[in-house]
Amino acid sequence: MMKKIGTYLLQSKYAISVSVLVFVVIGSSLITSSFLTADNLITVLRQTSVLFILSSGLTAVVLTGGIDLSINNSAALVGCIVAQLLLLGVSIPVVILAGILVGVVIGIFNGLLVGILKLPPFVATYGTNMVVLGISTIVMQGKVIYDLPRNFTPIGVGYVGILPIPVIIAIVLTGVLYFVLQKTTLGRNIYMLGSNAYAAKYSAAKSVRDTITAYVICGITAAIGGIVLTARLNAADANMGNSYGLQIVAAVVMGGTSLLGGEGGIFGTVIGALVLTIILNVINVIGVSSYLQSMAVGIVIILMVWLDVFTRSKREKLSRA
Amino acid sequence: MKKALSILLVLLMAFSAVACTATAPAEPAAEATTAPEAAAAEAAVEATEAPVKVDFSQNQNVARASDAAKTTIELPVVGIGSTITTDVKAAGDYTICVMTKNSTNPYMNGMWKGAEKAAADLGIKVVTLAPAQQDSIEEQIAIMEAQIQQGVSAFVIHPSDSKGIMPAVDAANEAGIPVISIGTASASGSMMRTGVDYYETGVVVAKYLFDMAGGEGGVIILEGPPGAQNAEERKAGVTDTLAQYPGYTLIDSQPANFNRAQGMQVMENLLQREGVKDQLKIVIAANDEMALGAIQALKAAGITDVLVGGFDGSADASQAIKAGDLTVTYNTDPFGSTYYAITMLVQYLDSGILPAEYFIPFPSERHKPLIDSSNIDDYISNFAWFN
Repeated sequence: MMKKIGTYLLQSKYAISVSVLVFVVIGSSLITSSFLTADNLITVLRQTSVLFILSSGLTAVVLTGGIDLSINNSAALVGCIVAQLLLLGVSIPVVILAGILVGVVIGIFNGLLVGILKLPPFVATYGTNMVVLGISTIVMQGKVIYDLPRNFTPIGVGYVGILPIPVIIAIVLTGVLYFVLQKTTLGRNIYMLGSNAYAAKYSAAKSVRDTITAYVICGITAAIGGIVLTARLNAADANMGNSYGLQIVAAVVMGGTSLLGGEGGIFGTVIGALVLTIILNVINVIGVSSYLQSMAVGIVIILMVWLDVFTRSKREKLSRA
Repeated sequence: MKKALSILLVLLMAFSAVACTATAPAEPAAEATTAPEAAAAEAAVEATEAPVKVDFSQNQNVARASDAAKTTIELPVVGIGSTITTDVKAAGDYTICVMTKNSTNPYMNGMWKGAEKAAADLGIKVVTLAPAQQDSIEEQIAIMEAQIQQGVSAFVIHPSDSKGIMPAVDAANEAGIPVISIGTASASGSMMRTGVDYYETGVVVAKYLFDMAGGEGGVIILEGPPGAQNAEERKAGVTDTLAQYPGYTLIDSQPANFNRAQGMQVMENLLQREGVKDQLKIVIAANDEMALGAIQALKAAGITDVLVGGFDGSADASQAIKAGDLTVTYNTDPFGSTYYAITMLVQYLDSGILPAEYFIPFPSERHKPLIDSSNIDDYISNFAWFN
């Protein structure tokens, strides 16, 4: 019986991430009674949603075996442009479309660098990150925009019923990405690109097209994340993405999506983002010393990725046997 | 098609590369005139008779300014923020390099603007530079080395790291080029340090809020990055002041790294701790960014009776004061600090006048740096550093 459960845990791709999440939730509620309150859980979900939205499209890119390091500053650029347009009095739907369009353009740019020029994605998107930061700096001229129109900020801080709007956006995105990655030819191709790039090459043109599409998906979610973050902060500046940085990548990898590509999925990223946010929440609620905070977060990231790698190698042995 | 695309991309990159480096190239500066004037300016307590080229390499940084530096030492400038002026005029043809940590932060931008006004008022040339990779200490060193090669007359620097910048500060001293540090000071080798005394800023803002909040209640402090000297000094100023007001209790002091998004997140989380919502009276954030993040969190939780204090007097903090969301901020005035630093450098280059002390803070309490609802309109329309 135990063995059966063990085998099942090893074979299911989210088993480890889910176990870690359950462990973290139980641990947190034992550590502080303030954790498992409705109010706090909503707070955690709201905070998770921004990190998750930013990471969601990256899941597709990582599945192709690529990486996108330009998400945080792309989100900031979109935020800056959105804020500037709002100040000019442009209507909100138009502003949102413009923001998403910026994300699409950045995605196409990254996709071309990686898909056609064959640059290593790590460095290419790192370069893009600096380029978009530069553009944000020019757009903002060193200024911060504060106090956005009142009918825009609910995107970041509003509620529908008891659910915060960012959480609803995150749930919708999860559904859409699940559908795209699992139920469409594009999704299958994205997995194939990552698991065996050579086999996917039977049509080079298609592989280029799918690579670009993956980066465009990532650009779009970065843009949505930037819009939500701007609305949440009620402000925009060129630097607003820098607290997310590599956290975005960590959320994806902690969720069991392999940096080598081909393995993982969107639910993993949901869990990765949740675990990271819960850790930060508990650290604040119980008041961990300032000096220990980043160490604690780092250890959790390492442990979770290690568990994932460990079970994956077990799983491979199992399937070979 | 593929080829055309590659060419387009390459062109685009080349363009951005050029755009990044297209800050005004420094022309080789003329020899600094060395005629020492006997004009005994009052600030020239230790004015030397010798021509310039004093050795500053042994100057050690200090974290806090003396009482005299904060209150009585006379300055060659009057006013604060964009209204600052001086009678000093450059006798020679100087080029002064103002190097900041980055080009995105409004504070750094304020330094550049102060430098431009100083250039016009004193009749010198300034070169304003910052690393392309934000806060990169390696690039800061490279910038200073290049400027030394160009024969710049003096430096005003805001280093990303006080020890990390030392190779470049040492090189400047070897070349006889004076350096003034603002904000984060070089560990040693600066002619002087100015900008605010971070400890003093913490004390002044904390006192204001404790006096205002009725004598009792809970206090939350949002800190800068743990271990960063500026952040630690400011926090010490706040906590030392808190110790003198026994009616207040410290709920917690947590880092949010000078970042608005983190300020909001940490505040949201702290509000979830049992009893905090009822106890909380005062939030002191170590910069305006975190204060504004905290305000967003308080608003979302429907809490309106908490006093929030920040530091910097930034443009959006000013709007928040006007809107009644932020209670107080400290005008750290990068504009005036840089203007003052350049004036001190020109005095030294002209006639060898040395600062009376190593650390003379600008602005300090005597410049009435607190901005609240009583002077916010005057601040925004007349003397704010971001105008």
